[in-house]
Amino acid sequence: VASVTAEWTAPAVERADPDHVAAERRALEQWLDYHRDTLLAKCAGLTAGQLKRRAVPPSNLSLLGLVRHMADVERGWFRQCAAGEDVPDLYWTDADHDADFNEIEAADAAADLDTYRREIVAAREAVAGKGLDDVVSHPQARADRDIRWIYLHMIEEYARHNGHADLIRECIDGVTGD
Amino acid sequence: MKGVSLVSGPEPVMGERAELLQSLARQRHFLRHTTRDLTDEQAAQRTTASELSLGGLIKHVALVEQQWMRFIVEGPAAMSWDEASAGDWTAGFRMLAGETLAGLLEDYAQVARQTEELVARLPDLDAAHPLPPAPWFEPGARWSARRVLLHMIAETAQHAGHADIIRESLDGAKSMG
Repeated sequence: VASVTAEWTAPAVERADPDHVAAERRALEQWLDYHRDTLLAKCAGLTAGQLKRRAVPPSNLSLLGLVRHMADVERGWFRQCAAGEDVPDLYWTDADHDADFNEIEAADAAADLDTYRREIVAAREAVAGKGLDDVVSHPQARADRDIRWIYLHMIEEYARHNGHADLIRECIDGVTGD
Repeated sequence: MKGVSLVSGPEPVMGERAELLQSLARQRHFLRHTTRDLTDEQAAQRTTASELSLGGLIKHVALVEQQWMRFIVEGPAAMSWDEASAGDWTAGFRMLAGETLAGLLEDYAQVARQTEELVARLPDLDAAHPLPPAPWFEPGARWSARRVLLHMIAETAQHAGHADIIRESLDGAKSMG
């Protein structure tokens, strides 16, 4: 019996609809998770090569670049800023602030997706004990922020990048949807 | 960490309502910003595989925000859907003859002012209404004002993302980074 090794593709994701009526903290957590899962859903079923495609020229954006970008954004706001953890950036370097988007040719797509999922778990833990009115500061930030602002900023950041992901995915294989 | 230049503003703790409105205002700004220095013809142009144009997006998002804000006050009657209005929905994504980018931006600014007045007056963000029957809504669902606002922030941001790509495809102008 001939065995065929199927090419790796990004796994499917179960995305839960946020509660229709929820108190503030739960609503923010659920909406953020919804948009995290939307990014993974935009990647689902694609090969590493497809995930690396800069499919809407002249834009430099690819789905894998967006995943890598959001892993660093998650780390930056939740672990480095909110929790004050001394952890390095994942992809950004002093030499290239856009290495998340630029350095994708040699990237391991499956490993980057795993890194992203782990970062989300760590991000949840980083703010689990904090209240929405707690104020945190980042060494480079020009203003202090409350945890509520970080949640809202992350939802905005995801939704905008998922808009990018919508058009990239549509160009790769015609798949559309929220 | 990069991107911190986005981080500026007066008070760290403004409270839920003010921060939701600020978040929505930020995303409206990003969406509007993608139409800077465009002619009406450019604003109506498709530039990618997608059907979307920048003027059409502004028009669509303004309409959707207006409808959702009416829903917060009036409930499902504000958004009733039927087969007859389905054609209007498609037209709501396109700039039609006689429509100008300046006019659509002004309409959008007017909607934004109404939203800010309305949300400031709302007694309770937990107040919920049933959704109208429509093929894309779960039957029997109720949405709170909080959910509507979070939805509107994300909807605006996601369309701003579409607009970033459409604008860059149009003339190379980048909106982010």
